[in-house]
Amino acid sequence: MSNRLLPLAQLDRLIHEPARLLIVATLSMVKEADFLYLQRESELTKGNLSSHLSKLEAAGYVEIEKTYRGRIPLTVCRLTPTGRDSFRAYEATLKRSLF
Amino acid sequence: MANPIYDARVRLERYWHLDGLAEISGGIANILVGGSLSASAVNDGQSRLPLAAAAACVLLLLVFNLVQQRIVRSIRERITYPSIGYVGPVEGGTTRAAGIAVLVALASIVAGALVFRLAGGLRGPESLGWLRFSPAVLGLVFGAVCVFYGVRLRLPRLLLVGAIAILVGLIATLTSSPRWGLCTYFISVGVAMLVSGGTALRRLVRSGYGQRAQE
Repeated sequence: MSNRLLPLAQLDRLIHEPARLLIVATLSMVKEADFLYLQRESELTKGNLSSHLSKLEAAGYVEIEKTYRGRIPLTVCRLTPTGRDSFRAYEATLKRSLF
Repeated sequence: MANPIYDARVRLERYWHLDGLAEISGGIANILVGGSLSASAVNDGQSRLPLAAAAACVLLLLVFNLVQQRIVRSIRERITYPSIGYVGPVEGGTTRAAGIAVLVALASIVAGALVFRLAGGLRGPESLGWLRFSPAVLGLVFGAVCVFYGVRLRLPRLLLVGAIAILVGLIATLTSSPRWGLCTYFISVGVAMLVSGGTALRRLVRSGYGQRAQE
């Protein structure tokens, strides 16, 4: 009988980190969200959130855009297609192996 | 234990109701429908003024439908986003389509009632039988929707609006004439929605407005 747990060893470590998983899972449900919304949802500090977002951006999982809505400056974050695919693959692996 | 993904989706849905703007829009639409029905109901055939007022309310409702998205966006940019953050609109435009469908349905009901009235309907009390239970039916349907969302999104003010809609619908059916029952229902529910949405918006302004600027 094959070991169903083995795929867990190949989980994407960038997404697997709890804070980044929280950020990616939140972004996976929306088209885009700003820094403040992510901070409220994840309850991370500004510095922590910023650092995790930078790592996700460097990996090409997240796109960060500084923009304006009216006169309000916003830091808008969205998952790239690569980020979305990686999260789906991560989710599927977890479901296959653990549930 | 609740499914965390389901919980996150509910939190996202809740985000869209935290500022109360959806209720304020709905409340204004309800009041305009009620105003139109009231103006139509006071029409005695002697003066054209009530009918003109009713038509003006329908026209206002249509204009409001056209501009409300822009107004809501503008208020969100000034109050909601600086307070609780910005979330991009869900792709597909289902919410907007549903909103337009509801407003078109309301406008059709009012326009239909006006045409019916102009065509000589609602002359005798016996012809109003089919209208007698409409406030109760509307109240029960709308109240059930409000209670469902109030429980799902954990927003007590929606439960309150739902309860008011059900109560007003029943009271209007039992105590008012069929002609005034619908007017009472639409105006009361509209005011309840306006107060509920206004309270939520006021709370948001007081609690979080300017948070971004201070940081």
